[in-house]
Amino acid sequence: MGFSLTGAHVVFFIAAIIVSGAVSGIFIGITLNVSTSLTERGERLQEQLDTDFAIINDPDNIPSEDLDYVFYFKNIGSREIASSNDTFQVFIDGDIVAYAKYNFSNDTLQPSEYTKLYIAQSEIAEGDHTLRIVGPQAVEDEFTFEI
Amino acid sequence: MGFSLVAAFSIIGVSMFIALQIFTGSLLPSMTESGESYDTMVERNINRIQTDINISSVTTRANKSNYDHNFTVKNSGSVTLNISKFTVLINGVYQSYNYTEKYLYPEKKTNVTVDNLPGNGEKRLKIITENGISDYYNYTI
Repeated sequence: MGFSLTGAHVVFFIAAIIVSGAVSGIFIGITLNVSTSLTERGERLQEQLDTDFAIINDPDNIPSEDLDYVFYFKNIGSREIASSNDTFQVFIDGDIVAYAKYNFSNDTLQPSEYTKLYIAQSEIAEGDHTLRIVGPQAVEDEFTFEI
Repeated sequence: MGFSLVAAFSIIGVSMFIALQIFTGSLLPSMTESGESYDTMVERNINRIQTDINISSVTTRANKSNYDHNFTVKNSGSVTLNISKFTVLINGVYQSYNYTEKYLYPEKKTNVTVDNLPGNGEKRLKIITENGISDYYNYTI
């Protein structure tokens, strides 16, 4: 009987340790996941707040080079921008411009620097148009011009 | 039975402490950095509102068959501007330019020159500051 009581206590003890260990493991796991997600969300928010750019062309005089129109694009934010077809989508009058129809003269753009955005002339007819550029974290700028 | 409960609550208590450490250790720096980014954005926007330039005059001088263009720019805002970060467009095309002073202080004027530019006729100048504020000026050679 004495042995049984001790045995029961040992079983309760082991069960308590196993249950509390499992609860602790789940709790720490969930906390890790939540804090990782919140940290990543914070980083995206920082990038969104730090990113800003403007199309600075003279809307009456859009220059051209070879078979492209040239748009000047200035980083007016406070962090480097990766300027590539992967990070920027270009829309003319609301229609997306195909990946192959535009490109940038530089891969990266430091604050206060400008780069050239080349858009194929075949994408823009004569007349008034609106260019919209959507960049990292959906930061965007819109520019109305005349060809 | 009592000892089992104490052991179980001890383990859960330690795990809660660890979880709290993980949470504060990763989240607080992230929140601080986001706050700094927000402050920077607000400061950028305030600077933009307080920035203004005015192209007050343009003179040109023949340089062989080309022309040297001299622009007088006034800082009519209340933010000191870095002239090296201007962008100059003439008839919509980017031009490299020269300047004598690095900074343009509020209510001060400075000269920016574009040398050896071909072509005469009507010209349209646009100068853009580092934060995207601009001014236009039309002139004829």
